[in-house]
Amino acid sequence: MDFEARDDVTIMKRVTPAISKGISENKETMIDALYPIMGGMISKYVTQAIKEMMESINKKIEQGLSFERIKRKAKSKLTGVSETELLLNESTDAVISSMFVIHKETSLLIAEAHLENKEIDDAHMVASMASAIKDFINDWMQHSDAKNEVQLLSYGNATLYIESAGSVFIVAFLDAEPDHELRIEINTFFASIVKQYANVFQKFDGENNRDEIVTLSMEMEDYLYSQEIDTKIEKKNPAKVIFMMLGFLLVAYGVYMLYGWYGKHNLEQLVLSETGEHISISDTNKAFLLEGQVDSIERIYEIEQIIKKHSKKPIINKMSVPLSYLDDRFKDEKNVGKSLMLALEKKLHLLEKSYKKSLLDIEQNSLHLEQELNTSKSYLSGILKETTAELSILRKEKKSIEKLLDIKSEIYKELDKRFLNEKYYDKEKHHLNFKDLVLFNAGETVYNIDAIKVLEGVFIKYLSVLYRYKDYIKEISIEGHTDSSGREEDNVILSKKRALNVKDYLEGLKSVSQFQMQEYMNVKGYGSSQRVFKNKSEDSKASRRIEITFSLNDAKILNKLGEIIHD
Amino acid sequence: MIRKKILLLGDFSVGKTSLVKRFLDGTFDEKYLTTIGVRISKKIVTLNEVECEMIIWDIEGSTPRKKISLGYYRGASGAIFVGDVTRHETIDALVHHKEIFLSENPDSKFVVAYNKVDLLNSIAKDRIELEIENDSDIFLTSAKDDQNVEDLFIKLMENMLK
Repeated sequence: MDFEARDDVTIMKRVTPAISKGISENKETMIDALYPIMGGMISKYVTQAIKEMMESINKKIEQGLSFERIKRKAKSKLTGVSETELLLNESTDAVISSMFVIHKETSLLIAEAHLENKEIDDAHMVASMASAIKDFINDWMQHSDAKNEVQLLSYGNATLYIESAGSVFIVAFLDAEPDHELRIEINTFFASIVKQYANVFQKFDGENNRDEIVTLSMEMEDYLYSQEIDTKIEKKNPAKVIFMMLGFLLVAYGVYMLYGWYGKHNLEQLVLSETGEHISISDTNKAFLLEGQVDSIERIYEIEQIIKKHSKKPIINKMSVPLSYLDDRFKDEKNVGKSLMLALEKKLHLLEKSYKKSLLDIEQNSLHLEQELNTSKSYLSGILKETTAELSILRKEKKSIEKLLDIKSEIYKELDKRFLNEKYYDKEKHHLNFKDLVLFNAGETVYNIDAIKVLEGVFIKYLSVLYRYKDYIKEISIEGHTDSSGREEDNVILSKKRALNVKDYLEGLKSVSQFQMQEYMNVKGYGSSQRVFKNKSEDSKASRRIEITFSLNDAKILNKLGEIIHD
Repeated sequence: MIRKKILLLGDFSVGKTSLVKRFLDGTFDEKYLTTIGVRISKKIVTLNEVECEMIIWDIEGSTPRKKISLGYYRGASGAIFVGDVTRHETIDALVHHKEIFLSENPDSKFVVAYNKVDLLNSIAKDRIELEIENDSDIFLTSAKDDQNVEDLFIKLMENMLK
């Protein structure tokens, strides 16, 4: 026994280093050799562990009697998933290992936080990738008429929970899909930071060293550590998670392309059936791109109308027509153009002719008008001259008429002016009254020589005024008056004789005859009919008097007026 | 540190991804290759003592069957429009790419890369150089020969930080 034991020790001492050396020098070979044994062992231990866990869960199920168990049982029956698996799922708690706040517009990472040992390499690139994936899916969703944004990306156990608000969105990296409760919790936290840092987010310009952002990162980290972590978080690089999403995205993209192909294929068929034209329709982001060759330009418009009738999407038309068609069309257009050109030339020629004739007419008309204008001017000038002359005559006539109409006043004015302080001039009657001159003694007809001399001087002065109006004078009356003594018939005779004696005296004067107005002079005898009273008693001396008056020849004046007007 | 989102836009096979790879000095991580039409990478550059991280969105060229989400364009501070100098249609298409980009980001900056210039003979290259000599935002690039790649990205960064 001792010998055998000693041999075992000796062999072990030699074999163990040899195995170690063999493993270190030929790792791959050794692993290959050991894998069937090790793999079997691992598999056995894992299977055993799972079996024990399942038994534990089954025991739990059997022991439990609650509403939750009944609900789970029903769900198991309906879905075909074992009650054990459902319980296993329920026992899984999603844990957030990392959290990003990403600027929505630029896709740049504003702030990040991680649990210990869960840091993400190239966080900025991962943020951009997450943003790109989100945009890609959202873009696809919008094309599928869905209005919601992508919120959850899952692949295996890795899940990205995305929530948008304002100018940022948050990405939470979890090891399982978050339940409703956890989502609300994340959203609540997100809402609180959006509210607190809204100003920072809105002004974000790519600079994330600011104090506020550092504080935000710390807050996010505190939030992550505040989670109750019951299970050990499997280290998982979010970048890898993103790439696992790609498989899903490929499928989604395939569906999207198929949808697009189906739509455009339908339109292509429609165009074919209605026009007989084979065209290619590509569905771009913004519009349908139409390509292919058709018979004519009219066909192109026709096809556009067909597509517009079936879709509101804008159209980018890149369809073409055969060169031969364009050539024919060009020739047609050229012929039409030539015909039009010829017609235009003819029209132009006619217009030119018409223009020249019009020009000639205008020239002739303008000459004629000029002549007429000159004639009119000279005629008007003549009229103007005549009118001016007539006006001047009329003015003169007017003056004459005015003068004639006012001749009496004028004579009176002249007399008043001439006999301003003359005691024998009656200013009211504008005649000569010699009542204060004792020309005759009572009952006598012979005048006093001194007195008659006085009368002579006054009369010649009177006559010199009347002489200027000789043409309008009818008569110059020398009137005799007596006092009331004696018979009136005698007085009348007496007065007339006295007047006659005075007239004879005056007519005999050279100074009177020079005026050649003797024919106007006549006599009147009034007796005592116009005797003079003084203090209500007859003034006999004054009553025995001579008065000299004049009167105008109205007929002559009227004739003169008639002549002026008639002329 | 300032971070900026920039886009690489252009038709298929114009060399957008090669430009990014070259710019990243071979640190391009293939694990981020995607089938959702965008591939994202990053590089930190220092310009006038300002450190800036460029988050580069290499947008796949769209086809009638595969459209790119407009969400990718949103919020980009800058863009590099890439065309292949050996295929004129890809250069002509840049107008369309610019229109889409600027409609989403009217105030953003951009530069243009006429890529694969290594495939041109010297006469053709001279002619193009003459055409673009007055436009400092157009670069003749070659990802293969590493011509103007760094300058292209740096110029965009300069434009963005102005």
